[in-house]
This record gives sequence, structure tokens and C-alpha cells, in this order.
Amino acid sequence: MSGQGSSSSDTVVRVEIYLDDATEAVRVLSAPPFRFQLDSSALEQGEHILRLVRVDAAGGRRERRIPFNVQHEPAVEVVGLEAGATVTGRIDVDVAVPAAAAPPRVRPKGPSLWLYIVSTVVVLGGIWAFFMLVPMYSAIVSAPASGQVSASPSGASAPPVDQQLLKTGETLYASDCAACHKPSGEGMPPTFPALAGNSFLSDPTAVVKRIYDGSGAMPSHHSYTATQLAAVSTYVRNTWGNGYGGVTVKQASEAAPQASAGASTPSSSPSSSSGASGSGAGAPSTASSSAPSSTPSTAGSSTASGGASGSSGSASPSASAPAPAGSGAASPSSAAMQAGQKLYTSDCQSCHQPNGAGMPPTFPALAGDSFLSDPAAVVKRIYEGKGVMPSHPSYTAQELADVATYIRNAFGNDFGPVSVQQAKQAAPKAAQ
Amino acid sequence: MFRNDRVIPFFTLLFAAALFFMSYLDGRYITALSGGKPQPMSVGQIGLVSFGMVFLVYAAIGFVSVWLEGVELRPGVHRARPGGAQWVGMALSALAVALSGLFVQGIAHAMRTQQNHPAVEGAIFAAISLCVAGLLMLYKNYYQDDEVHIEAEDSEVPW
Repeated sequence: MSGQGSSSSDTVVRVEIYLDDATEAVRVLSAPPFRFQLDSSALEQGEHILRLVRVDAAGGRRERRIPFNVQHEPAVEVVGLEAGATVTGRIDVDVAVPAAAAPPRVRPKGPSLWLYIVSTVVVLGGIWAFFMLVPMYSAIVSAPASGQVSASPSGASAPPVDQQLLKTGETLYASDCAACHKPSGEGMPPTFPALAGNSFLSDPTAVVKRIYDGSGAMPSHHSYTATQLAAVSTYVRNTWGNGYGGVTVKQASEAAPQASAGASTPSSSPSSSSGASGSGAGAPSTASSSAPSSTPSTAGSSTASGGASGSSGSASPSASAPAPAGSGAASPSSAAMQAGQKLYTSDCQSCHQPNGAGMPPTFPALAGDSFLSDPAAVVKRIYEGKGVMPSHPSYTAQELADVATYIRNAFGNDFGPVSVQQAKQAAPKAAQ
Repeated sequence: MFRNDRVIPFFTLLFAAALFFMSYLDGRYITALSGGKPQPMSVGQIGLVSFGMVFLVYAAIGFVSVWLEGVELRPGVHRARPGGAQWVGMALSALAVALSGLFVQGIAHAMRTQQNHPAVEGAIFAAISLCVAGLLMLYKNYYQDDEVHIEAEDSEVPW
């Protein structure tokens, strides 16, 4: 229906819509598009007439009548089976139902909103509770990001810290523990756990026992006295932001009854390299007792013993140790041996022991180890690590050469020196 | 039979959130163990996040399906009605173009300063991808007719 026209009699100004004989229009459409919706459900069943009156600009009225039939019952059309038809066997019958007769749209009822809320709370809350309420995690996760632990998890004030023990513990830690647990206490997880922020340290008895007896890759320290155990425990419990309080010698003695009660100083540590203070002042260390004062040079020269450093105590376990294959190799320079020994003392001996005896099977012995005959393999192993053996990516080629030279020529070994060039070839990524 | 369920996508989304949450708490645990020093993602965290992302994508597919097709599928042809979708489409397109410019700017900046910021660049690229995905969904929902077919229960259609 269009209202466009050239003359006034052709211009439609409105369309009035009537039903049956009604005098009042049900709709008046005054602008195109002249479209409306007729709701047949409001009409009675039967015949009706739709009257459309067109009114033009000149006032002329023209009416059009459209009869139609309203049927409220659903009409069903069947295709495939006609009335009176004779059929046999199976036949396909299609039943067509008009949209109006289709079943009303039922809005599917979903689960209650409460199901979603409760599920969310249970699942996410359960995970949160697992991390926050399980004792093992609670202290760790609730610790601030800085890792500061200001008090013992039990809430009780931390026991006082003996400053002398703390200082002693620092020295022992540097010599025996830092190689694996790192000077910063961050360790090398997962093999060597971090001590900073570690809630395991909250229990002084467990800490002392772990140090004394070891566990897994952690070596035992049966040579430690109760004082040393207390010192190291105090140090690790009160450094790097930890604040678990001190450990007394009495507590250490109770936790490790087998430990001797000798009040050893740090210099008596089996791994202490301070030659000036002497060795084995009180610690019943197998390492120190077996450490002779000669260094492992094939030539047995006194220059190789590093007299300048005075740290010959931990160099060689036995001058009579059987020299492995390779005996007769060129002698390493004393400078390389000293530099290597220094690095070995700080980074290696806590696991491989001062006398190179290691702690098999976890930490293999270096004394008499035929693996050391291959300089490239040795350098590579030091640089890249393997298994519990940590990598040393910070080592320069010179340092790699020094350490490799030292362990190949200490502890009765006689595999000859390793040059910087060889170290570079074996570990090309190492810094110069 | 013709239901387009919201329940399964919801629980998939919930499990995805749970896995991400576990990964986050695990990260805090590792950080605390390291003395507060942030650590690279552990293998466990990567595993949790990976499964979380799979669940997240599955949930997104489910919700988009509900949005596009409705909760109840009704057989027949469904004509698309654009409505006011063009404005949203124009806004998304403009945003995608702006983000693309920002992305290129980020690359140029990285080349100039020799300092790359992969997290920022990744986030911008992800935002561009989301814009494109949104545009595709708009097109599919408002500009493309749909037809829902039904199959008899003993149909050979495998699904």
C-alpha cells in the first residue's frame, strides 16, 4: 500500500481500519509504511470482514472489504494419506501443523542461581582453604611477598638469639651449606630447598635433626658438635628475613644426643679452610682427621701446597692414595691449584667433602675418580651440573679451569692441569 | 534434545578459574619459599595453567553457543535482525585498529631501545584477538541467517 501520488486525490493522508460492522476504527495509519498486526486470537471463531478505508488529501474515501475466516482449533494437514485411500504395508505420513497450533514455547528451567553460587564458593573456597588452613602451607602462603617472617608461626614470641652462636653459624653456613642452599638462602629448588621463608625451620628440633642426620640429597653432619648444630640452626632460623628465634646448645643436644657436646669454634669445622687457625680443634671430623697436609701434586712440590693461603688442611686426604690412570701428567701451577682450592672450599666441599671422599652414592668421591681423567667432561659437569650436582653458570672459563685443575690433582689424583683454552672449548658459554 | 545448556559451560569456567587460582597460590608458595624473590613459572604451574586454558576455551565455546543460538534450539530458518549491532561493530573495529597501531608502536619502540616487553605486547595482541573474535560473533549473531535442522534419533549423523 503506497501513499505516493501526483494529484491531491491520489495522495493518501490516512488509512482507517475497521472490523466487521464496527464504526470505530481499530487502527488509523497516517504514514507509510501502512502496516499493522491483526490479532486473530481476540476475534470470535467464524467469518469476519476487514474494512480498509483510504482517505485522500481531497477528502475522498474509498473502502475495500476483505472477508476472512478465523479458525481457533489447530488445523492439521496430512500428506501421504488421503481420506478413503487404500493402503498396504508401511507408508510415510507427514503431519503439518501451522505455527499457531504448535505447542507453546516453554522456557527451559535451568538450575537455581544458588547452585552456581554454592558451587563457586565450595570449589574456590576449598582450594583457598587447602592452601591457607593446612598447617604446612598456611605459614608460607600467608607470609608477605617479601618473605619476612617476623615471629614463630605458633604466635609465641621467638626465643632470644645468641649473637655468638649466630656469628659462628654464619661461618659454618658459608663453608658447609652455602654451596647448595646459596649464600642468599634461596637454595636451588627443588633439589636444594630455599631456607628463606621456609616454615620447616620453625621447629628447632627438626632443624637440628635434619642438619645432623641429613635427608635425601642433604648430607649428614655427624662431625658437628652440639654447639655447631645450635649455631647453624640459629643462623638459618634468623637470617634472610626468618625470625624463628635462637636454638640453644641444650636444645641441640636433646635433638641430636649422639652429637658431642664440645664447644667448638667455627674454625674447628671439618670444612673450615682457615689454615691459620688450625684444624680439628675439637670436631671429631673424619675429614679433618684424615686430611694430611700435603697437596696432591705429582711432583709433590711444596709450591703446590699453597703455602700463601695456609689452607692445606683440606687439600688431600692421603698422600698414599692410589694415583689413577694418568699418573705422570704435567704438574699444575700452584696459582691454579690455590685458586681452584679456594673455589672448591666455598662451592664444592660441603658435598664432596674436604678430602674429596664425597658422600656416596649421592655425592660421589673425587679422590681416585676415573671420571676426572677427561678434562672436557669435568669442566662440562662443573659448568652444567647433573642430577643433584648444581650447575655453575656464573663461573668464568678461568674459574672452571682452576676448579677442574684442582680436583684432578688433589686428593691423590694426578690427571694433570686443565687450561683455560680447554675450559673454553668444553663450556663455550662460560664467561671469559 | 534441542537444549543448549549453560550448566556445563559454567562448571567448565569454574574449574578453569580453580586451576588458575591453584597456579596463583602455588606461585605464592614458591615465592615465599624463595625468600620473596619471584621465580619463573614451575612445571606444575605451567601444567595447571595449560589445563585451565583448555577449560576456559571450552567454557567460552559453550557460552558463545548459548548467546548465538539461544538456550533452546528450534528447528527452522532464523532470520538475522541487525538492530543496533553496527555501532558496537564500529567501536570494536576502531578499537582493533587502535590496538594494532599500539602493537606496531611497541615493536618499533623495542627495536629503538633494544628493550622488549613481551608481556605488554602479548597483552595487546590478545586484546586485538578478542576484538576480532567479538566482531566475528557480532556478524554471526546479527548479520547471518541461521537454520536449525533436526535429525531423527536413528539418523546416521554421528553426533
